[in-house]
Amino acid sequence: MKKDGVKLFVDGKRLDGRELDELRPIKMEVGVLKRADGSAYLEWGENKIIAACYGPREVHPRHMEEADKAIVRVRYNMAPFSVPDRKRPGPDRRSHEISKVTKEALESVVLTHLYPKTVVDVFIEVLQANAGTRCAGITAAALAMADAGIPMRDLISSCAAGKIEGKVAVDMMGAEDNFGDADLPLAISPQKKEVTLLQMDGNFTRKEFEEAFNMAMKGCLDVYEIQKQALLKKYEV
Amino acid sequence: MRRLVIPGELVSKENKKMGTGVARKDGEIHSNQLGLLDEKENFVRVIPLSGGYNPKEIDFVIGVVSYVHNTFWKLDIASPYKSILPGGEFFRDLRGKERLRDILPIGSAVYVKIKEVTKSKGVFTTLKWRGATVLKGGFLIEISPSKVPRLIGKKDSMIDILRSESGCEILVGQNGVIWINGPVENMDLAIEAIRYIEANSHKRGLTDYVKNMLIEKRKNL
Repeated sequence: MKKDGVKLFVDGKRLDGRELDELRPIKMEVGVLKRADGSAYLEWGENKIIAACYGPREVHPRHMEEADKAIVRVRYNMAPFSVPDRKRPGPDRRSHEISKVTKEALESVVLTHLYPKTVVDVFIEVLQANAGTRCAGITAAALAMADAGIPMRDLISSCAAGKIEGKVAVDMMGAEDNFGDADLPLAISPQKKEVTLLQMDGNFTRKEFEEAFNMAMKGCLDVYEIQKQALLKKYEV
Repeated sequence: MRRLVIPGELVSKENKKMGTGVARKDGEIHSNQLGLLDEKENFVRVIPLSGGYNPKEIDFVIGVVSYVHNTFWKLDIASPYKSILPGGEFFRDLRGKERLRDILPIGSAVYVKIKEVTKSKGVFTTLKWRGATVLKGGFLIEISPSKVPRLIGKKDSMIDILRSESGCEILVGQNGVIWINGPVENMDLAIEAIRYIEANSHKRGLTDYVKNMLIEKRKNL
């Protein structure tokens, strides 16, 4: 993955002037779409993501229905203009995978037994991408679901860690992701710190992995605080 | 002032009776929903601010006929679940002589009581109940079912004001469907007030504000 001649550290700081354990600036807003049951808009560094949640509602097609619980469906989609080279529109291998892991990360906290024979639909649209969109997507989707009033045990917060030039760092941006050595996205339910998503791309030693995991976990908890504020802000008097 | 809680938030460490929107986890009570915390000495619940309608057996709802079979009507009750109004539950005996589609064609609105909700979420309704009726004229608007208690108010305080100050007939279903009937200008007024209540349901002192608003606006009619 590494290319020669690309420097990822300037004067001991990262390309955008961050420390190794510093997140990019994050901005969240809840209830941005009028016609959706719940929605959220998220800016995470250069990432811009909008998430919408519908339901619980009737399941179509009918054969997907479960007699004793609600199902959760997630669609992750990148806009053609979200990346420097135009992305061919429509579902591809990558977005299928992200939809699936996001669905599993979110489903684990939904109280599905309360609404049998129904579906909770979540749509994640990436308007602008700059590494870490799956984490940002999960974070936005959790907000949209809470806004829609879906009964949930907990929120889901997500953050990634990685390795750049042999050093473990949290929340990698585009250049670091492309020329770095490893990437470790993590999603947790913050109350009990249970892991609901953990993927790894590249190589970590065991020690590095533990360091990265702890860094990502700390990042998730920081993200959780911002999520809380965003939800409370909507109903501020 | 009631505190706003988010899903998963710790609500109480004591052992209390639990209402909706909360669950016990390792001896502590946590919130399950985004909503307002209602905590009393020996009771705790979370009042949701959004969310769908889950049919309950004591509720009155407003349904719209979506399909007519030989022996029953299917009603759309603004919920994930379709409900059924059997021909035998019409308030007068039909004796099998009339066709159901001549009595209540598709699109008719009814104010019905939910009689039974089966385990597999089959919803059975009835018109044979005091208050249940077929709705004629007027029109329907929808709000979030979680805001219905606010629209009705304590001991009907809010809905009484809406009825008297707007001069309309108003019926509110627990599913968030509202039927309004009256002169056109008054209906516009009532709808405006209902939309205001919907948008500001988490605030206090709403009843007085709505009353003043309606009185002011009625002067201009």
